[in-house]
This record gives sequence, structure tokens and C-alpha cells, in this order.
Amino acid sequence: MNLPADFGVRPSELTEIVIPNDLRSAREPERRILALLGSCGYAPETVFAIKLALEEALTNAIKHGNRNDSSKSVVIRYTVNPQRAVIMVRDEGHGFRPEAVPDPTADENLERPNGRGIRLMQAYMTRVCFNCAGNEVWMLKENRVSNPPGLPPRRG
Amino acid sequence: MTIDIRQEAGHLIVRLAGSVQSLDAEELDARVDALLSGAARHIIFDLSALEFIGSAGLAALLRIHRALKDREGSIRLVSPRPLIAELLDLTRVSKLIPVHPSLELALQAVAPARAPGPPGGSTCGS
Repeated sequence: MNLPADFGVRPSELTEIVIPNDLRSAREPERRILALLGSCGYAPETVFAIKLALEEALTNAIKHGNRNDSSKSVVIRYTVNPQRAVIMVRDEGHGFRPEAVPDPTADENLERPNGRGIRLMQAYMTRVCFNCAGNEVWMLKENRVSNPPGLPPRRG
Repeated sequence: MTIDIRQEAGHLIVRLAGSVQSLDAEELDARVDALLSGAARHIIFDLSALEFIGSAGLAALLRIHRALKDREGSIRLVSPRPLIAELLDLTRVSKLIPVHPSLELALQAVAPARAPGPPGGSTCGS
């Protein structure tokens, strides 16, 4: 899958990093992206949203996509500018169908410990696109003050 | 992530601080296993210093919820910051696990009903 044309950035703007398939290594791309968000002056709630979506995408790739296989890798491509942040995460797994993941907020699924990652990515990012195989996700966050869908206005 | 565990009024108080990411959730799971191996029926999580939690951390809280429900106990969350409170609402975790604005109110919610005192009552001096 290529960079979605309507994400508002060019492929040449993207930086690529390849990490070993473990959660500790996932801290490095997060550190780099958070540093860029800070330098671009993103608001704390937007940084929180991007950190959450990135965390969920990386965890899905490492634990579910690559099934904790230490011989595999995860590819991250990203760019951050004052208007938007774009992040891609790709694993070497066989993928999945996002629409087949049960709604974790349905009453019958509330007590299930897993299945919230995809929902959180979709709720906190402006756009989330999976490739056909389901092993590559592109996420866009526009830098504007907004509430995650389905939530009441922020307090305070 | 830092985890501090103490007892207050006979209940376990767990204070989570910093970020609970997937890697941290494995440590949280281990600490939770140790807590659940005891006889605790009610565990209160003080979230006032928690800055971030992902779905792996939420899963750990839900696991405690299920374990304590089986022994007719409860898990309660106290003083989440606004972004964490929104996350708990969005995922509807707050529908399963009570969220209290203060530790005092959480302790009141789990305190056993007190028997009536003797006529005249006792005096709480200072």
C-alpha cells in the first residue's frame, strides 16, 4: 500500500526506521516521533492521541502481526510538520481484517481484555487506513483541537 | 511506570505513576498476579499521577476486575487525569469499573457497613 494521496504529505518527506520485533525496541520510533511533536508545538492532548495510536499500532505489529517472533522486523515510516503527523507501521505477518475485530465497547465484549487497540487508533487519529492484507497501517493526525468521536466535550 | 502498593483502612491501594505502555503492562501483570494471590477483595488504583495508559494496561485492570468480581470484591479507580478519564469513558471501562474523584470516596464505597454504636456514641477527639 502506498501513502494515501489525501494525507497531505509527499513520500519524500517520510523517514523510515526498521526495528527488531520487540516492545523495548518500539520505544525508539516513539521517542523520535514524540520529539518532533514537541518541536512542532503540538498540544498535550494531541501528543497523547498520537502516542496512544502509535503504541497500539506497534504492539499489534509485534505481538499479533509478527507473533513475537524475534527473527522478524517492524518498519515505521513517519513525518511530522506543524499541520499534520503521518505514521505508517508494517509487520511481516499475514495480516487480518480490521472489520472482523469485535466491537470492544459492545456490552457483551466489555470484559474481554483484548481487542481495543484498533478502536483506539480509529478514535484518536484523524484517519486510519489498512492495506488489503491488514499488515500495514497508515495513520494521519491533523493538528487541530478536537475531541475523539463519541466523547462529550472535554472537562476543565 | 512506577507502582507503589500500600494498605489503608484494610484495603490495598495501588498508585500508578508515569506511563503504562505495553512493555510496562507485563510488569503490571506480574505485580497484579502477586496481589491476586492474596486474600484481597478490594483494590483501589490511585491514578492521580498516571500520565498515559494503553490498551495493554487497560487489559490488566480488566483482568483484576474479573478476578475480584469472582470473589465478590471490586477494583476502583481514583482521580484519573482528564485525558485518562476520557480514555476510560471511550473504551467504556468506566462502565465496568467505578471511578471516584477521591481516595476518601473510594474507601467509603468499599468500607463495610458499620454497626450502630453504643448509646451516646463515642467521642472523636483531636
